[in-house]
Amino acid sequence: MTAIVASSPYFSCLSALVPIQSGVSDAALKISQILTKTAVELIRSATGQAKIADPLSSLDRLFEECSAENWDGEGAAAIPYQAFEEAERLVYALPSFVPPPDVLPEPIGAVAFEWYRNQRYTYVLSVKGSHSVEFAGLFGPGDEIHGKANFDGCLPAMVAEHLRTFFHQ
Amino acid sequence: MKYITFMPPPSGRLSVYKTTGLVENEVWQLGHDYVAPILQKPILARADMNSVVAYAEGLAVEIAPSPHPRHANITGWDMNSTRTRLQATKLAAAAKLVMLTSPRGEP
Repeated sequence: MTAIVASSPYFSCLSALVPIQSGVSDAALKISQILTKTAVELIRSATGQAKIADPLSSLDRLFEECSAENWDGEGAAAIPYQAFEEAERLVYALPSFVPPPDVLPEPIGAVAFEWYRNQRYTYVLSVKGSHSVEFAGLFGPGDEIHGKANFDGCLPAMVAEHLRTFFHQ
Repeated sequence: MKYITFMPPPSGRLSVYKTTGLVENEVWQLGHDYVAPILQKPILARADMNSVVAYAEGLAVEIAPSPHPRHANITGWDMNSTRTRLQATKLAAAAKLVMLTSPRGEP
C-alpha cells in the first residue's frame, strides 16, 4: 500500500489539528502524527502565533465575555459553546494566504471573523454552531455578496473563492 | 468602522439617536447620559450616519422617545436572512467614526 499526501491550494498544514483522521492504517496514523507535529511547530512560530494562536486567544476571551444572555447590555443573545467550537475549526480551515481576522461577537449569538481593507472592501464570516457558515462582503462599489454554505470543518469552496478574490490570490 | 456596530440585536431594533441640530457637546452628552449607563462602559467614540443610508437599504428609522425624545430604532431587518449582515456592513461603510477627544466631549 502506498500512502500519498497530495498538496492542495487550501491546505495550510493546520487542519492536522482538527480531530479528523480519514485513514486507519499504520501509514495513515504516521502521517497524521507528522502533520500534527508540523502544525504544533507552526503554531509556535511567529506566523502561527499571528494566524492561529491570536484568533484562538480572542475566541477564549469572547467565550468568557459573551456566553451569557445580554452580554452587551442591549439584549444580545448568548453565544453558544458550539459556535466557539465551530469558529475554532474555521480558524484551522482558513487558507494560509489569509491574514488573521478580527474576531467579533455578534448580538444574534454568533462569532464572526472580519477582514477589513477599507470602507468599500470588507469580508465577514459568521458561525453560530449550526454546521454552516454565513458570509457577507463588499468587494468594491456595486460588488457585494451575502449567503450561507454548509461547514463541516472544511472550508466551503465558495468561501475559499471569496477569500482568493478579496486578497487577490 | 466595524460592521458589528450596526448589527441589530435579536429584537431587530437597533438603538440610535437623532443628532440633527445638536452641537458636538450635546451629542456626546446623550451618549454619556443615556447610552453609557446601559452599556456600563464609558463612551469613547460614536458612529455618525445619515438616515438616508438606512432607508436606501430598505430599513426604517422609527422614533422611540424613551429614554429620550431623540431616541430611535433602526428597524426593518430580516433577522432570518444573511442580508442583515451585508446591510450592517454597508451602513458601517457609510458611517463616520468620531472619536472622543476629551473625557466630556469638549474639543
